[in-house]
Amino acid sequence: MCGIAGVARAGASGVCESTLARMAHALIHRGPDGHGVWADEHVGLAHTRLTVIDLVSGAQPLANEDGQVLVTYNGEIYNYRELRRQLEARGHRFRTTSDTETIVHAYEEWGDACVERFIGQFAFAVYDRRRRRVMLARDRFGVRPLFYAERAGSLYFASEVKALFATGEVPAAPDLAGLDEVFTMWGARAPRTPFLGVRQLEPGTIAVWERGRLRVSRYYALDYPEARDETPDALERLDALMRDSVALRLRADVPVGGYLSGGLDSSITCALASAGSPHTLRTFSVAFEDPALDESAFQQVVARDLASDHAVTRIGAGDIARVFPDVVRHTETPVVRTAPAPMYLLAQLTRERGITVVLTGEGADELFLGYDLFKETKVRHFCLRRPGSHARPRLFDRLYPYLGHGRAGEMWRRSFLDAGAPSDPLFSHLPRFVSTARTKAFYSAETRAALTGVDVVDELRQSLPAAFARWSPENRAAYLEMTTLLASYLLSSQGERMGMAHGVEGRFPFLDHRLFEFAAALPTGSKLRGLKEKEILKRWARRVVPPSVTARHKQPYRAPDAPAFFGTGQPEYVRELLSESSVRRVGLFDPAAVAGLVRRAESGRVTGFGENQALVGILSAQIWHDTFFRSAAVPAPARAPAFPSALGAAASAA
Amino acid sequence: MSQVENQQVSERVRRYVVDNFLYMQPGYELTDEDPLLGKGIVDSLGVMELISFVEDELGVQVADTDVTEQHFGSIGAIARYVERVRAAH
Repeated sequence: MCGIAGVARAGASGVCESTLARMAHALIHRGPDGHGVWADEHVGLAHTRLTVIDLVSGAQPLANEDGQVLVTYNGEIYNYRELRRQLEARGHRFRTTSDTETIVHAYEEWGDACVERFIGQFAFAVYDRRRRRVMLARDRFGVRPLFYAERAGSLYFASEVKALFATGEVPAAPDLAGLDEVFTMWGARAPRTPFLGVRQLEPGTIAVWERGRLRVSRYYALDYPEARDETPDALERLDALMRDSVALRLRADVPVGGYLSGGLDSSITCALASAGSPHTLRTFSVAFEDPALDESAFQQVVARDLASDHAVTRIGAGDIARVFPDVVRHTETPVVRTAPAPMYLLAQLTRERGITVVLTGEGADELFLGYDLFKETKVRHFCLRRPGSHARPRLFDRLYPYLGHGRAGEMWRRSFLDAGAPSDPLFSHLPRFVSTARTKAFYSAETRAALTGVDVVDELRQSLPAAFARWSPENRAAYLEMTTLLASYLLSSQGERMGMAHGVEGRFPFLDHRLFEFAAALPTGSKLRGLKEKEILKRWARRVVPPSVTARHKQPYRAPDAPAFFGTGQPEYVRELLSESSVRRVGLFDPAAVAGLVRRAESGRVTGFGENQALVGILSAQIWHDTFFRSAAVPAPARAPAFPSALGAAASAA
Repeated sequence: MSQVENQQVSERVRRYVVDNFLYMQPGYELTDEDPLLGKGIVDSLGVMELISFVEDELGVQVADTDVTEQHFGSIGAIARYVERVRAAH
């Protein structure tokens, strides 16, 4: 995995090599193994490389045979070997063994539609010199990031926003509507970002820049053509898809490791990876000092079963607060949970142990209805069909026994039923949105005024595809989860960004689009049977993982939130950034309100989700603001960094 | 419990709710009968905090079956509940 960047001019004013070098320098953590820039009078491309496939000759930017089509690319096209055979049969000549080169030839052969043939996770820019057009593309689920900005007749694009600011031509300013989405849905929803004038390419879309205009179009749409019954061969099809998905994702010229949480999904990916390789699998896990959060025992069971070479990063008091500012520098957004921080430390350990590619289990809960949210939606619908029932709401006690709400009884249960009408398309997600939005109660008067008339929840409602209304309630919830939490937070802030902070590439077998389409077509009952989640996946997984793993009660991955920043050893930056003077200086939040929250946190009374999220959200927003807006967002070096302008394979072909 | 004592309980509950759930909205006008859950002032965990406050600060043991909107739904409801339990002991 790598970093990409570039600039396209409407005219022929050219792109300075120093500009491209600064963009690349801002992405060096994504590609510590090499870099390259290329430019003509219209377009400049930059690339920083994390070497995974074709260690010798896959440098970028890379060109086709006659140098008229170039690519800068981040990601993996897992079926690149099969595509290469097809393209060679049609007369294309390859000179490297990289998957990168597949893209330029596929574009030559199939044009913009080439993306439909890629199985993978990718973000790339193809420059077609003859037609003077640039095509940007992002994978179907948003695994790889791609940001862009248009300004004064130029298009700027990059894997991370900091590279756009590094040009000195894209101003840095907060987009309050983007922040409002963070404090509602945990992340800004593409195409919006928390930065004014900066957009992110939506998953499953391409954008074409031609004659100074950008046109975005969708090549892939999520759909849920739910069958009435499970087919007799469903388990065999699932087996074939899972094994192929993992096998494709083991294609690399470097060793591939596995993240192991101890839960079902990563146990599956690690088990299949171990079975698919002659080498001992290297596995990596997070352990917490807090036993309420720790899953070490389950991780050890799986590691022993796989006889993997297992390494653990132990998160103790102070670890999260210590790395949190750098975490936010990499998420490039405020966050409402500290969960990215342990993942940052896990990637650091992984890299230290010499592994730069890992398989990980994200996506399974979205595909197979694994989250508590899906069960909760089902129970809420059930209760609201008989509003006066006292017995039905008792199902919430069964759903959340660990929340110790036996005491809160009827009032607690009732709070779930006041969270939205069943007729609301966002019914499943309104409780989360309402809970997260408690952070907005801390907005300053200026923030509130600026957001007058902005309703990000209603914008989401209006953006739903026409097919949404035809899907089952569970599939509607799954769609919302894919397009809000997964794309906007889990894959980015908690996943890709934390890996890339240390040059570690994550690969997601459950996010193979063929597997998604298989799961989306299953009857809901094959995924959520009663209140049993991921039913068909567990049924199949008995072939692959120990019984204790399939039988284990789902434990959501959580990290300590507010307590991570209060107590002995509190870093000075926490006190300083949450002080009334700092909060007033940044201006996003009300100083007196934040002071009240800090008072409660210092006395250990911040125990609910809403307040924890508010505290983490406010602190991370303060860090984010100071990182990107207080001084130059990415301090431009006095001169271009001293790394040579490698023109890559493009030079010889130009 | 006398009317004065009831008033004092009401004030203490009000102070607790404002200090812990409304500190971010200093101008919020909360009446004694405003529904705390319905107006989003407390959530499910906030209910747990209220129970702890009533037990620890007001010295009233709360039976599980008493945790209802009728008894905990508003400042006034909590004050009346406390009055009733104290009177019964």
